[in-house]
Amino acid sequence: MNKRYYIFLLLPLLGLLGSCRKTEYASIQSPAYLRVFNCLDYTASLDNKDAPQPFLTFMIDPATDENGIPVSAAVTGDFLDHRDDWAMPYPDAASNVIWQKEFPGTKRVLAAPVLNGYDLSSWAQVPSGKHRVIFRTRPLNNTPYFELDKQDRGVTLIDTTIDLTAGEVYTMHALVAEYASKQAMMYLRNETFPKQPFADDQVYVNCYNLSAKGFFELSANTVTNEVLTSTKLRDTMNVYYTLARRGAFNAVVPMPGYKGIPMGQIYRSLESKVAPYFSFPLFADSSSNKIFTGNMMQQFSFYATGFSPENMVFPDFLAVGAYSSLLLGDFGDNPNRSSYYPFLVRADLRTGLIVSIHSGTNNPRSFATVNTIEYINRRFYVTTVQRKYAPPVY
Amino acid sequence: MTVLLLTLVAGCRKDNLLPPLDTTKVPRSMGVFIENNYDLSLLHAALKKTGLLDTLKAGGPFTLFAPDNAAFNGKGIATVADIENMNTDSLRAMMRYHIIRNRYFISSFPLQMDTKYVTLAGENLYITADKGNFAAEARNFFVNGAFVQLESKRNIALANGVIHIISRPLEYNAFTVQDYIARDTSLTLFVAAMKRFNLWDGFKTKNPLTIFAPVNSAFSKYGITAETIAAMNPAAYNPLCFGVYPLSMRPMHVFSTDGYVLSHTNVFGAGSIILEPYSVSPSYDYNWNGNIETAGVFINRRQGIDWIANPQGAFRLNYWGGRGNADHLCANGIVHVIDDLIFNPDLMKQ
Repeated sequence: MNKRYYIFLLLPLLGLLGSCRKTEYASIQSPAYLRVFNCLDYTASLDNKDAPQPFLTFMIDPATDENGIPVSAAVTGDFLDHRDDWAMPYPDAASNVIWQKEFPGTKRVLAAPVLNGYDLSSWAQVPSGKHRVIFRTRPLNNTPYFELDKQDRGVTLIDTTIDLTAGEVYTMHALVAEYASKQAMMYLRNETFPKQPFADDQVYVNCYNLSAKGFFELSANTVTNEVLTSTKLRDTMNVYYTLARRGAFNAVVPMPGYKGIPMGQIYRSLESKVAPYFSFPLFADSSSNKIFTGNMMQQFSFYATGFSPENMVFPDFLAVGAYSSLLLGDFGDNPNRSSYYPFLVRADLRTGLIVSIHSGTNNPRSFATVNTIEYINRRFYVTTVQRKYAPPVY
Repeated sequence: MTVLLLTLVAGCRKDNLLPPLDTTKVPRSMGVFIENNYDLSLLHAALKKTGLLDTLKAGGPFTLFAPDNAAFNGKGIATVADIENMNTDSLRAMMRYHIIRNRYFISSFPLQMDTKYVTLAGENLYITADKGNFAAEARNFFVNGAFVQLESKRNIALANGVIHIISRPLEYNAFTVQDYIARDTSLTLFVAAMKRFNLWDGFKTKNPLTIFAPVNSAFSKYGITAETIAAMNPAAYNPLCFGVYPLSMRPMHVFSTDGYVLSHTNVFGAGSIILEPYSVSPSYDYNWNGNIETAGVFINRRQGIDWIANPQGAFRLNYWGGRGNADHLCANGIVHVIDDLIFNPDLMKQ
């Protein structure tokens, strides 16, 4: 009888073993890293109100029924709304919104790992190799795509094939190819920033003009009740940057030595080629403590041939397409949007293209980033990529 | 000791925590709800006459866009006797056009214009959302240009479906806009003018079309009779003089509320139909305070970068006889009957 007491010792052990959670971790063999933006933007009018809205579902390798309507897909980016002015360097994990500004956005996916020091958590892992990609319109409601009635599953705007290489970083856009026909196209860019020898005390920027063919010639120069001065970019423009701080009455006060510095050119092209990166120093502000670089603004100005910051006049007097400008950072709560500053994008709350955050014992500490500025059909979009930084110490 | 324990256990009060079933509230069917609602007595009469009331009592689930009595009154249907005098078959088709399958609450309609739903009549109806700044349940919605009432008059959940009260009965004519205009005896001068200006044949073949048709009294206001129309030489007039009524035959599908949904009270914005140098802007306004709808059409002319009131004719037109005379949906377009000419032909000679 006494010999059986060991059973009472074994029982909790059995219980422990039986209660193990067997988690199956999702994994993708030899993945590529992909981030998708919906850049299709057109205003509804009485003429096109019945046309499908550019509210999209993005699918990789969809399976379709006999009528060509998707019934499932290997990767789905649903509720893909028009992209935001600023694509953040990390996904907003606390957000539970359904409509997405990008793919993967806040969707729970396998995110890309830290690659060569860059935080790629805004990129999703997708299988590499050849894949069919489609973008379909969907109704503007909260029903997931594959739960919609078949008649509500929209029309295919883009249907194409891509070839992804394992370990590479890709940015994909749904763009308007031609301004007159509004024909949509897929644009896939193989990013090179993880392979480039970038210094971490410099902020890197490159510029693209991904406007539709014929945008400059065909789009309106004036619209009643709208201020469109300085909002159009010619197909080739020179880029100058200015680093500034906010003065009284939200004035843009340039820092000595950083006013109107040439920074290369911006071309209108839908070819998926990486534009050259230019840089400016992280701690350009000599009054900063080299840990936090205060309230910064970055201005990127675009001048047609023959114009420069030196011979600049009042922009309202210039021809359309002679001048435009993008102002980022701390431009104040009630910014003066004007023909000098037609485009304002806040980017990082205080410091524009410089990310300031609690890291180590410093709160905040400023970090340099790698950025892409895209001009698409009269709007500017900024994408910021940050490096991995040391976690905060409290 | 054991006895004490037993006493303790037995001494517990064993309350029945389940509340008794309320047998007084059985979920009502849609048909019973309509039967017992005095504000829907005309709808009840129409459904009963066409045999659809039984469908709404037993079948389902359905979504019914229910015109209340005030909505029927706006179409000149005032009493149950008026309903009884209507042709049963056409009334049945009309009533079936108000019902779609499945339960659709307001929040399940997409935030866009002209989402199509197939009705029991087999034809599509068009649901338009005004994105506005309201929460999902309080947003303005329109069905074929008819306003979906707010608050307790929408999302009425019943045993076999959901009812939304609308401000106007829906209308679908299974024939062309040409047939519709030809059948309306108050539009004979408009027909004569369209024939004279070689636009009439297109009313049968083009799809879609939106037509603003002025009534005979509008022509007589300018002293125009069938004889003067016959004497007009089309080449002597600006093509827009009469071409404006079918919007230069542009493929458009415009309900009276669409301009409002696109640009609200701004009649120069996206809600305008631009026929250079003029703009035709259907305007609409819903006054929540008195549940009053006002609608009309504004005509402007471009001058430089500004818009000015139409100098060649009317600036504001109304739907003849009220909003009930707008949004006549036909197989190939929409007819709106207006009370004035857009252009005075004498001022449009070229």
